[in-house]
Amino acid sequence: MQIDPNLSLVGLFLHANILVQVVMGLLLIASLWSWAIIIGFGFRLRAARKAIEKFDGDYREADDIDEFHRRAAGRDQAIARVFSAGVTEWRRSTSGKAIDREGTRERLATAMGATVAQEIDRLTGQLNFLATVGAVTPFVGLFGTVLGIMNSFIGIAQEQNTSLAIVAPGIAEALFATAIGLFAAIPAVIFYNIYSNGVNRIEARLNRFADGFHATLSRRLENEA
Amino acid sequence: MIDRRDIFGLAGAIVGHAGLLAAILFFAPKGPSKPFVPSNAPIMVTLADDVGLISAAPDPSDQPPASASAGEEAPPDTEIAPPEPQPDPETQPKPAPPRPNPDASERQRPDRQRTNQQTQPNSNGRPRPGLNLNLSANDGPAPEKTNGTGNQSQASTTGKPQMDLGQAIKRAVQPCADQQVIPAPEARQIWVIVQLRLNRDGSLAGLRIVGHEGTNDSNERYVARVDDAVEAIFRGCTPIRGLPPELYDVPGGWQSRKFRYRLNS
Repeated sequence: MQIDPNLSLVGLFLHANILVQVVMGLLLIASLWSWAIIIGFGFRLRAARKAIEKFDGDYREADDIDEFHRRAAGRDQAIARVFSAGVTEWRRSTSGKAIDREGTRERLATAMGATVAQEIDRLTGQLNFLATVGAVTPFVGLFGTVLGIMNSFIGIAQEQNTSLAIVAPGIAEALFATAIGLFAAIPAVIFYNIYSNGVNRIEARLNRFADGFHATLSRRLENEA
Repeated sequence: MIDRRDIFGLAGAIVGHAGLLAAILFFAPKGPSKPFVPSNAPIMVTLADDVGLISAAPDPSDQPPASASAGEEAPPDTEIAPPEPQPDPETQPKPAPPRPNPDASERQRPDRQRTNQQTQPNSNGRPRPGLNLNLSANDGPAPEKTNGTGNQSQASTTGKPQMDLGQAIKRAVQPCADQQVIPAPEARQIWVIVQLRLNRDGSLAGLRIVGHEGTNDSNERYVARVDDAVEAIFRGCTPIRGLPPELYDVPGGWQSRKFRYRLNS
């Protein structure tokens, strides 16, 4: 006995009400886009982690900060921009005749802290979409299900037939919307948590690097005085 | 700002979704592994419109074929009269169709005599229990509505189904029973013994609850409400139409009748 082609997953989509089809289409697009972010963000996070490790290693091996800055300032990396912010602020604060040490330390900390926050904001911009997909798509799917079940009951009322064979396909089509919503939401929530943890670790490493660089500049500030 | 990683991610997502769709289409269940076989044989349901003193159903087992009693009402299986000897249709050779067969007419005669005896009252003028006394109903040949297949045509020869008076009265008051709200599931276990007296026109002459069965600690508190509901049922759906008038004042007739009743019956 062959299964009714109308009850296959594709058949459920094609035979659903137009409004439910729109909802399912939106959910599929959300799933597609969230997986694009999941894959792309995974590469981006991995690249950022490797860049921090490499830059940190190069910084520790460098003998001269100015010479290292000339080599590393042009890199399109978060940690390089934090480093550049510190160097730029150092140069601005020490270019005058009188050096305000306390003020320079505060400005260095503020400049590098702001750059870290800016880099984290830039990194986490796409995670918001994952969070939104994870939170909203189940409800959107539920909305499609409610519409589908309403249509099923309207059909029952019109046909004056409540047999299970009449009711079941409409209910299955309606539930398919919830299934797609969950299909989009579950990986979005899982990877949002994984990537949030990864971003927190990157932020901690950037802050550690900024603190260490601040300490180095602070010592140099005392020596220059 | 879309960079190379985003494009790669989008391409990966599209490929992944397409692959998932292809996998769903390829590995989708083609149907149940075993064809559905109904576990129960078909059940033939017969609605009895005739009313008798006791219920009766056709017996398809041990009666001769329909040709033996064509045009006559078949006796029910609750017949009291001793069965007269009749020829065995299996052992007798079949008559040749073109020429008239005197044996066949002789074979029909005992059945006809017996049927006439059944549709008439007894010598003392009182109907016998178990006989189909619904004379106002069709006296013609019994319809072969009890047969599921052709090879079971014997069933139509053994009698028409009939329900007894208690079932007929219960069916008549069922619309009022459907309107009653059962106070609790435990109340369904309470059987009310009702002494019902009816006038000849079917109207209620008297109703008395003479006892209860099935009461226990859990449903005892619902007895009064069940009594009220039963009384409302019988008062609401009387007069009862369609009861055979010839069974009104016979022993076991519907002039005064005691039977067990419960709310979901």
